[in-house]
Amino acid sequence: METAIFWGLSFCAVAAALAVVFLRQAVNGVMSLLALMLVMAGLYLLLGAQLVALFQLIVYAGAVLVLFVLVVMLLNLERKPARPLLYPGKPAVASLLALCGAGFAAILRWAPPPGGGPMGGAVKPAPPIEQLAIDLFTERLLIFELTSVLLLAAAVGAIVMSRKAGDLS
Amino acid sequence: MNPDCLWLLLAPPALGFLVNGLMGRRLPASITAAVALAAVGLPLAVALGFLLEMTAAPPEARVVATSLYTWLSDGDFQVRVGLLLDPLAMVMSLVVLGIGFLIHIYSVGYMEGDVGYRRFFAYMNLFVFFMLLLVLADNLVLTFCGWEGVGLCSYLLIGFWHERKSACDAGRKAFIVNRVGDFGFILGILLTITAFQTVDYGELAEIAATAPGDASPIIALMVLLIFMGAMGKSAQFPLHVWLPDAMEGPTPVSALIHGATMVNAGVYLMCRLSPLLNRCPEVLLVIAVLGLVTALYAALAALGQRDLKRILAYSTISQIGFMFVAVGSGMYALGIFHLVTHGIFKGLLFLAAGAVIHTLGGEQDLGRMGGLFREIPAVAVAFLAGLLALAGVFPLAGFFSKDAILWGGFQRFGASFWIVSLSGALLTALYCGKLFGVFFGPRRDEGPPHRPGALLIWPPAVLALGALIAGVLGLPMFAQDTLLSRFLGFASPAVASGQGHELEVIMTVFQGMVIPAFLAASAYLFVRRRRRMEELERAFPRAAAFLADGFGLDKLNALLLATPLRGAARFSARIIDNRIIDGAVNGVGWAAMRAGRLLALLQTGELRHYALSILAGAVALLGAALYAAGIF
Amino acid sequence: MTLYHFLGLGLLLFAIGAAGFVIRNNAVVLLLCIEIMLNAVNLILASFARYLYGAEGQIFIFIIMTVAAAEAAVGLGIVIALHRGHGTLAMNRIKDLKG
Repeated sequence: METAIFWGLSFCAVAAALAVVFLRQAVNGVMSLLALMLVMAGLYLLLGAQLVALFQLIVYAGAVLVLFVLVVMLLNLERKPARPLLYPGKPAVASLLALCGAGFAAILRWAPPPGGGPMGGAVKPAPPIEQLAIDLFTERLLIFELTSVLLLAAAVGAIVMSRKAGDLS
Repeated sequence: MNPDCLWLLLAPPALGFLVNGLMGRRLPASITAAVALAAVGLPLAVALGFLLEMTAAPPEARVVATSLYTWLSDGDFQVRVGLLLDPLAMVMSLVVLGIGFLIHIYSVGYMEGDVGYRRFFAYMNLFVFFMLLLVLADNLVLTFCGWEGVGLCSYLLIGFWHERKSACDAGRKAFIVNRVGDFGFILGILLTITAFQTVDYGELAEIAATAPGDASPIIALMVLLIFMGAMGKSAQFPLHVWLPDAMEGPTPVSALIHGATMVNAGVYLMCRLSPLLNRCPEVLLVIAVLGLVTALYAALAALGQRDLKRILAYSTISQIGFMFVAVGSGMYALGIFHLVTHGIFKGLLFLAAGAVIHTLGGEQDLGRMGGLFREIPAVAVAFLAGLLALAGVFPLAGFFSKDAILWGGFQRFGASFWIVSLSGALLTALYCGKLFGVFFGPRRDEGPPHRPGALLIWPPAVLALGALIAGVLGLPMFAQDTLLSRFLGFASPAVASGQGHELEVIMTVFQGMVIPAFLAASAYLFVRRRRRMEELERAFPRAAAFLADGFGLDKLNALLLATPLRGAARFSARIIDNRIIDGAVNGVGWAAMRAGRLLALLQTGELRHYALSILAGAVALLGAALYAAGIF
Repeated sequence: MTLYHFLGLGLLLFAIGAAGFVIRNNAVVLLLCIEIMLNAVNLILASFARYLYGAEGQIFIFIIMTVAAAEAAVGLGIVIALHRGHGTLAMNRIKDLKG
């Protein structure tokens, strides 16, 4: 059952990623990325990382992509871009699709037998959320605090970058 | 005598400098003058207080010392900022402060209306501060600080009228020539430190008393090096060349430099080191001979000057030479005695000369001065008193000190030395007589005289009184311990006292008659036969110019020192700097620019090129890591 | 379904994102491709956490998510500034870095 779900989600993920790369309109790309994010959340659940899945939905789907949509709207990018791809379209599409096929084939071809070696190793028990919280706020506290500084810098930076030159408001 | 009050001598001039230097722009001229006067007057009062207590105290209790703090410390070697007020420093402080105070009063009148009024008084106070620091320091290093400070102030004040190029040049010359002397001084201090690990005067005196005999050459070298510094500051041949040019400064500055402060520093320093000097008679001989050469040479050069202030300048050099003769004879108290009397009458002469120049509206040429006695009798009387004192006419101050110096030289170095120094004294009388022409005979200036105000008359008058009575310090005559020498209490090297008193009395009477006779003859020639004398001068133009240039020493310096240096500088500027150094620097820049142009080709501006190169780099690193791990 | 499968999927997604970054011309889409790559890395970290190391991988994911959010904010700010300055988002027309 889990294997089937994995394969289904994998195909959806690759398809969504390809859509991001090949759809002409930026807004369609954003929507495809949204789909990819949802699929990724499913994959995290499959890996027993419920908290990560939750954050994936809240932070990526809820916040980051909304920001993308907003910017696409703001810049009015609906009109047909003059040249979406920098390389001839068909060979690029074909080679990328071929790459994907080869990738899947390789995964299937060299899959190790379950339980053998590190690659096919047994599943560790998923850590409880308390354990994550304790880790994050004790051992990794410095990193955690540094990310807050990073976010602050990014917020200030974004404002500075996007305002008009000489506009101090 | 409270040692804690010693800083009161130093603080007011420093404060006065700060107040006038920092805030003077906002103060009215009257307050600037009041601050400057108070800055010298207050320590003068303190010094007089110390003097009263000191004369009352027994001789062995006449030293006040205090250590403010330790400046440098390296193991046993320490340099303290310490003050020492002993009788020698007391006399020096009184000269600096007393004459300095009168000069300050005089300057209030003399500098009136000058744009640099507040700057002038700020510098003057700073000058007094550094001179006091020099005098009161209890070690060589601190003395050196004051020494350099005095040099700085002399530079600032000589170049005071900095719009005039000649003034700037003169200031620079004073600074540079002093540097030559200070080079020796610094070496001397360093030698003292390496040889004895101390710079404290008291400890040096102890060392001089206890050091074994084989230390004598080191002590001699040390003292000789320090004497080089003294030669620079006290304008001794051949480092005197700055002093005549220093006349470019305002006249009160000349009075301060010549009478009260700077040139006395060298004599003071030698007296301060007298315990060391006593150990090396050869150095004493060097000092005496150099002093005598300077005295004779400068007196001759003074005779040839045509500028009122330059005559006085050469006369100062000559008189300092006499002081060094006294020091070199081991009669330190006598050197200080002549320093005091000379300070008084030279200060007087400069102040009165300033008044004369003021009367003539800035004229300094002797050829245009004459018959001024009727115009400015008060100034003339003061000036003539100064001249008589300088020449050494009984009973003025100069008579006592010069007579004693001549006798001291005779006693120590014999008759030929005496003859040379007597001829120096006679030359002094000759150029003093030349100056009589300023006041007598027909008038030579045009236009109405500017009569000097009271402020320009009273300070020289007070000094004239001093010149009349300062000889008291040298009483009783014909005795080893006069008033002053008893107060100073120097230990002199043993003198063979073979000659009796009779000879000394006979020589004194002889000198006391010959010198006034020369003075009178010279005055007669330069007043009554002035035209003849001037014709004589014109008849031998080259000889006159030779004398006026101070034997052409400046030209000699230019030829021997300046010309090769200038050539070397030109070579270094044109060849080494322009070609080699600039070539290397420009070459590096050129190469860097070329390399930059080449590398710039890599920057295409296409984002994907950068992204691809990052990706390629990451793949390469990953491959290298996997290869290193042995995966393939 | 093993660690191997998840690693393969992550690699594939990363390759797609990287390829997209190189071949697409629109600045906004470039940012989307970066997000794909970041997500691929997150997936790999999560699978390592699951199969090998325990909790630490998930903590890394949180940090990377924060960085991604910051990157998106600054990146979009840059996009706006680019659009304002050049009037276009086509990267083949923006060559300010050319030496």
